[in-house]
Amino acid sequence: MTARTGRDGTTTWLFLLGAVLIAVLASLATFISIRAEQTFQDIVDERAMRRHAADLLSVLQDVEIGQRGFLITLDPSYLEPYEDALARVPVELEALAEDIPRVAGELDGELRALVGRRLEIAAETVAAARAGNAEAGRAIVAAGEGRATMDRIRAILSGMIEASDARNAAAIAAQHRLNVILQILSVAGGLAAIGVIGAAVLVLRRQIAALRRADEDMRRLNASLEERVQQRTIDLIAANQEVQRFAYIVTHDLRAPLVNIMGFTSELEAALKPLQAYVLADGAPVSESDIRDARTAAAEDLPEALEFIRSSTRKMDGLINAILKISRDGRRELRPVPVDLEDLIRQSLDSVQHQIAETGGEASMSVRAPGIVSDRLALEQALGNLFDNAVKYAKPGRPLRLSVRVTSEGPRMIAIEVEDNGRGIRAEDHDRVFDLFRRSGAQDKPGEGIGLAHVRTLMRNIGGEITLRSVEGQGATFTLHVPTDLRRVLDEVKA
Amino acid sequence: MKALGREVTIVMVEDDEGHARLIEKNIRRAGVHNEIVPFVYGGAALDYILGPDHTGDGMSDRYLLVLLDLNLPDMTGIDILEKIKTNPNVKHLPVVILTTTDDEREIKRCYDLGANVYITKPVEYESFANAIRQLGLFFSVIQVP
Repeated sequence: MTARTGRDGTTTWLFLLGAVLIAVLASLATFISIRAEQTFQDIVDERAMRRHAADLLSVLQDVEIGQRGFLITLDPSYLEPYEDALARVPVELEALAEDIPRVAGELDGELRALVGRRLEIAAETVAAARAGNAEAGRAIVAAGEGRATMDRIRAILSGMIEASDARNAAAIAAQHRLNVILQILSVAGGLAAIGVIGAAVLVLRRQIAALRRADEDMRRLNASLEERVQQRTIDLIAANQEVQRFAYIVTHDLRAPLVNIMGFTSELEAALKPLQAYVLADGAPVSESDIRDARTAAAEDLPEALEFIRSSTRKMDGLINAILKISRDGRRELRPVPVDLEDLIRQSLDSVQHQIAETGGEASMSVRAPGIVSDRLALEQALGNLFDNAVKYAKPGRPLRLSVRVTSEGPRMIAIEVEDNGRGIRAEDHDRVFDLFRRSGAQDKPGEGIGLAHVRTLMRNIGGEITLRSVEGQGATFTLHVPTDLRRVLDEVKA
Repeated sequence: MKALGREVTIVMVEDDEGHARLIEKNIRRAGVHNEIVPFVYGGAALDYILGPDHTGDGMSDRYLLVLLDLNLPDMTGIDILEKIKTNPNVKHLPVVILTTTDDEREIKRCYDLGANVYITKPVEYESFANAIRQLGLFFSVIQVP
């Protein structure tokens, strides 16, 4: 849940970053285009001023040409362009005056004065020539004031044009720089956008992959859950069948002594009758057969019945104690502790070492599995029982070879194999030997049929199992299947 | 009790000494005086019925009646019943199952395997005596071919 929120955050941030980038680019582009328009307008204005300046100069030159032509030739036809140009001078000057504030401040007062002066000089010369004094007019020209004024005007206008050109160039350069910046920004923005989109795509793909994985996990979990439910159901059925078998055995075995107790109680009753007939005769004549029956009852029937009642009661007590022992094992609180199997097996073997040596046999062990966490007492009792059985059911005349092997059985289980070369167990009895009070083979050794049932209870308590392989007459191999970690088993049972 | 003029021997396979004694007493009380050969272990009983090699060879001409307890220390009575009823030499021998449980599936299993009579050992002594007396009646009607 937290991881998903984190990824959602990343996506949000990426989209936000993209939006900011696009906004920045858009505003920059707008700014630059506004600037470009302004620059364009500036250029247009500069051009107009430049043209007006040039036009003014040209008109003034036209005035000068007309004036001079007339002075030289006194041909009035020269006065036509002179008059035309003269009329246009104020127009051009005003046009220029209108332009200048837009681009370069106030029109220079000097220019206006110079233009006025130049026109005055021209008018003087022309007036002189008209009056027939062409020489005077020429003398004014020769004095050079007109030319000097004209040069000054030319210089000012050229300066204006140059300044305008310079401003134009600067504006164009600035515009070019802005364009370059815009281009760089566009490329960078494009790259950034590609980066953001790419990152967003990557994040989305990752999210989709994560979702798909989660989906698969869920499906797998469901499947394994079903499997576990099925396994638990099988276990439950097995446990139920075992309880039924246990109940069957217990009722049968408890009933057997009960049949004796009831039966011999009735026998007691039956034996009492001839005794009463004899003892309670009160002087009445008693027949020979009555006496014989009374004697038999007192000497045989009564003691026999009492003996059977007593032994059956004792047997019943023994059975109840055995059942209690098994039930107590089931209720004992398990203590998971690290168990060094090599150490544990060696200790258990030590207690039967002497008996094995007596038959000329030997015990061996190999531990090829890591240490486990389990209930030490349960394992100790289980191994002790198996070793005792191996010694007890060794084949007479054959030295006992007892070997214990510990191997890994998958990641969660180990197997402790206890193999002997004793008399073995018939195939039909491979299940039965683990039942309470059941024994197999010749009953030439004392025992009540509790040991293996006890071992099986111990194993099941710690989440394990006991299995058996045996060929009658050749030996038996009991395998304890033990979980490597009892804590996990207990947790699962709780869950 | 005779079959074709020959005495029938009763083979009693019963591990509980008290039960064996009660059965014997009641059989006698019912007026049956045939020889009773008792066995505590299934293995020994099979040795007697099927011969030491358990083949049943040469054992077919004996007249035995088997009283069989189902819960024996060394093997189940079911195993013994199966071995008797699947052996062509001895499968004709009548087998009476005498046990403490009245589990229906077990009773059916015994009849399926060829048991002739199934008697539950009741805890009430009167019914136990009755059961044994019925067994006496059974003795008087069996036909051994």
